[in-house]
Amino acid sequence: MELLSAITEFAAREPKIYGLIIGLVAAAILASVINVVAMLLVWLERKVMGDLQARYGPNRVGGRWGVLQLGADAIKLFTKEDIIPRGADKSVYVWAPIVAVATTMLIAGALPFGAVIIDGREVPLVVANMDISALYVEAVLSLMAIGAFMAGYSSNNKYSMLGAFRGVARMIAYEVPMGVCVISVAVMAHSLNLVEIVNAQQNIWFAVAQPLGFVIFGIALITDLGRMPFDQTEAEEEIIAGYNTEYSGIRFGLLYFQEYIVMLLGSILLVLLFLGGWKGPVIPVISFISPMIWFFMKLLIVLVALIWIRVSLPRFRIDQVTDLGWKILLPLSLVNFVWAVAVGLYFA
Amino acid sequence: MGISDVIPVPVAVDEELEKWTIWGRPLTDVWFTTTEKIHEIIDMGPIKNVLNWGRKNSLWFLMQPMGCCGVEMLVFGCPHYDCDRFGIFPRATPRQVDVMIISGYITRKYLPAIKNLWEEIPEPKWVMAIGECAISGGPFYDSYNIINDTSRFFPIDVYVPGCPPRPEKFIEGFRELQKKIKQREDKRGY
Amino acid sequence: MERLLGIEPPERAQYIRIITQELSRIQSHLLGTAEFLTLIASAVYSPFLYMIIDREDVLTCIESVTGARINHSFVRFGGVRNDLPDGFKDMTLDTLKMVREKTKDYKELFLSDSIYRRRMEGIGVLSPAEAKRLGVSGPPLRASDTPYDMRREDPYLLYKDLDFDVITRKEGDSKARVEVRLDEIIESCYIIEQCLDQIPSGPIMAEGIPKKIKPEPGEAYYRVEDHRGEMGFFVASDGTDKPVKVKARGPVYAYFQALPPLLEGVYIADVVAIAGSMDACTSEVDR
Repeated sequence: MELLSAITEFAAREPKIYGLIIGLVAAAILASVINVVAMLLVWLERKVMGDLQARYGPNRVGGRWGVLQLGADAIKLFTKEDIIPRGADKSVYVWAPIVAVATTMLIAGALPFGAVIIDGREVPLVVANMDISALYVEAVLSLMAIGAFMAGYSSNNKYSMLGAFRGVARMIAYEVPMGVCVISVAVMAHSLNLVEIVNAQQNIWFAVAQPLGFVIFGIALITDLGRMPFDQTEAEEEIIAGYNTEYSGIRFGLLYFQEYIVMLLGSILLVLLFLGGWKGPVIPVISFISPMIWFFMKLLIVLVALIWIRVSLPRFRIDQVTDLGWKILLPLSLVNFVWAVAVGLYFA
Repeated sequence: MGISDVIPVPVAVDEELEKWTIWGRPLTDVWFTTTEKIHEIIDMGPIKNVLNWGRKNSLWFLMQPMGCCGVEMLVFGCPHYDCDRFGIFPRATPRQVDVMIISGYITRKYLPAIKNLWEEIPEPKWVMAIGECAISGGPFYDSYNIINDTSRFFPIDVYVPGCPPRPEKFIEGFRELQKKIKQREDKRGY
Repeated sequence: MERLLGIEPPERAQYIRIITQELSRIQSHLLGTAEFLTLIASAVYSPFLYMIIDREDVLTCIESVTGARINHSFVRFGGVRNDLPDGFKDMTLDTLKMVREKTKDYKELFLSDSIYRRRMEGIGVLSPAEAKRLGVSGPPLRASDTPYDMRREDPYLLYKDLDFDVITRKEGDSKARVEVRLDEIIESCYIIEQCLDQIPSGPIMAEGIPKKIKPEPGEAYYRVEDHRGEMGFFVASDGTDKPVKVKARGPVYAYFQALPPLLEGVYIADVVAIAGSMDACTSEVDR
């Protein structure tokens, strides 16, 4: 009690410092939660992939389900030798994984992670509830290519460089249709705030209202995540391991892990924009967390779908990827935009 | 050197601390330490066990098939055998692997390349020789351009005989390597 | 070697040789196609793993006869080492039925997969004349509209008694090469079924083979249709129990000669599509 009163007193005396401390604590909690969930995601992917391919996936480390597999991987990666190749651009090389992870974490701040019902009122769980959060997330998503490009450029390796080139070309081609899709959603929801966008889907999901936009956004999202039909940046058989060819130890671990964090956050974005976020019928007994249950069910379905796509499609060639982006998806996304405006005006 | 040299505390604290031990060493010895000492502590303590637990359960190997054992190496990662169960899976770049598998004969022309690959792998690393050709030259024993004894060039931890060994033998080989890592009996002493 | 000695193996041994050869052709083509799929997709591409599962079943059949998965050491001068085990016919027929159905599925899958077709159609076109000039044989040659198959051209064993088609494709691109391979799997299934129907009972080794073989001085060259193309063996003897010269001519070396003209001016991603569709086994070259 004494501690609590001391804290309130301190908050009243120094509101700015108090806000800063609270913000830092929230950020630390968020970052650690995201890391743990992303770790579970890697494990989930290996298990689901195993199920789809008549294998088991990890099942020896940490009990029957192999839950501790990722713990073992992390310990190993942390204690691996750290090699900086001769001829590498040292500072860029060192900073690249950090930039990659940091830019990814920036997205997490603006995304609502579900909601809880308190006194019959929905309280979204979001760190920074900004008015333009959809635009912000979209902008930061395109920043991610910088980390990968830094890694590829600084490694002094031709395969890394090729991977980096491919990543940037792909990002430029797909950010535009993706952005147009986000704007279409915003037009329908009359807001750029992700919480408002979710609230606007109380009656009808945007995936139903604009199916074209949903498909385009999905494809562009997979591209942004660098998942299977679009994983040209690290095509093992063509350019060894793409931009992280020269990375070893925990630096590689960060780059590897970042992909899964992005996959998690990207799926959350898809759920929020098109699949009605945490909206769903209230479950009677546990009404307090029923939005959370809906949210995580949708998220799980999206994640498994992403894994499923990964194991069942061959890889595009890089020129075909950019062709698809500029020549097909961009015009279609504009069509979707017109449709969204028309429908939005009709119902408004 | 004691605590009291650095921060102003009574000398009695120093005397008390000298009685404390950690893993059989005086605490003060550990307190102000150097990198070498940290390594020493890690080497003797249970920390090493945790590290080796992580390492032995996440042995990624270099996807570099040669000869007909390479075919079995491919199958080793596929259903029916599924190396992913043990946390073992292939990577394409030597920077991110722990185990190099010599899965076939090494010609004199190929030796520099594979030595280069071995040196590119970051520590800690292990090497396995799989198949007769890698162990003794196999059917090419008296050929003019085949390296007979690969252990002259690589510190090989596990030999898996067979021509080619069945994928089950691959699993057995990896289990032996895990056992070696756990008991710290591997050639390079991790 | 048998040609040099003038031995004719008994009929049953010849049928067993054909069966094992065609079975291992099936497993090799399955493996080749699977490996090729990892190149254009990735190592987690499911059809690749499904093919390996099929291959394991075929290998089980081979193993029940020869006792080994890959290096059989099974053929002896004048016959084969083991007879077919009990229940081999039923097991093999079941496996072949499964393989045939699965292979048809794969063909359908590749035809309907637009990403696959974009990657493969018109890539790495090898013209018939160019292919012949470079000495390419096997599936890549047959994909370039040339019905050249050792089993037809220079029938060895009892292939002349069996009914089979030589699979060809007109296009000569990567897609055609893979299709030839898949069709040959089905064709091999058909050949094995015929063999299992027709196989007579009898001895599996010819009579009167001496323990120490001393052929007359002379030379012999013998060609077979390997999984990857024309495989030739040359043996020269001077009358002692050790040969003067043994030379094996593998098909893959010629594949590599065909690669440079095909790879000029293509994308990096196409390099793997072309080289993979050749199913070139590098360790056969690096001998």
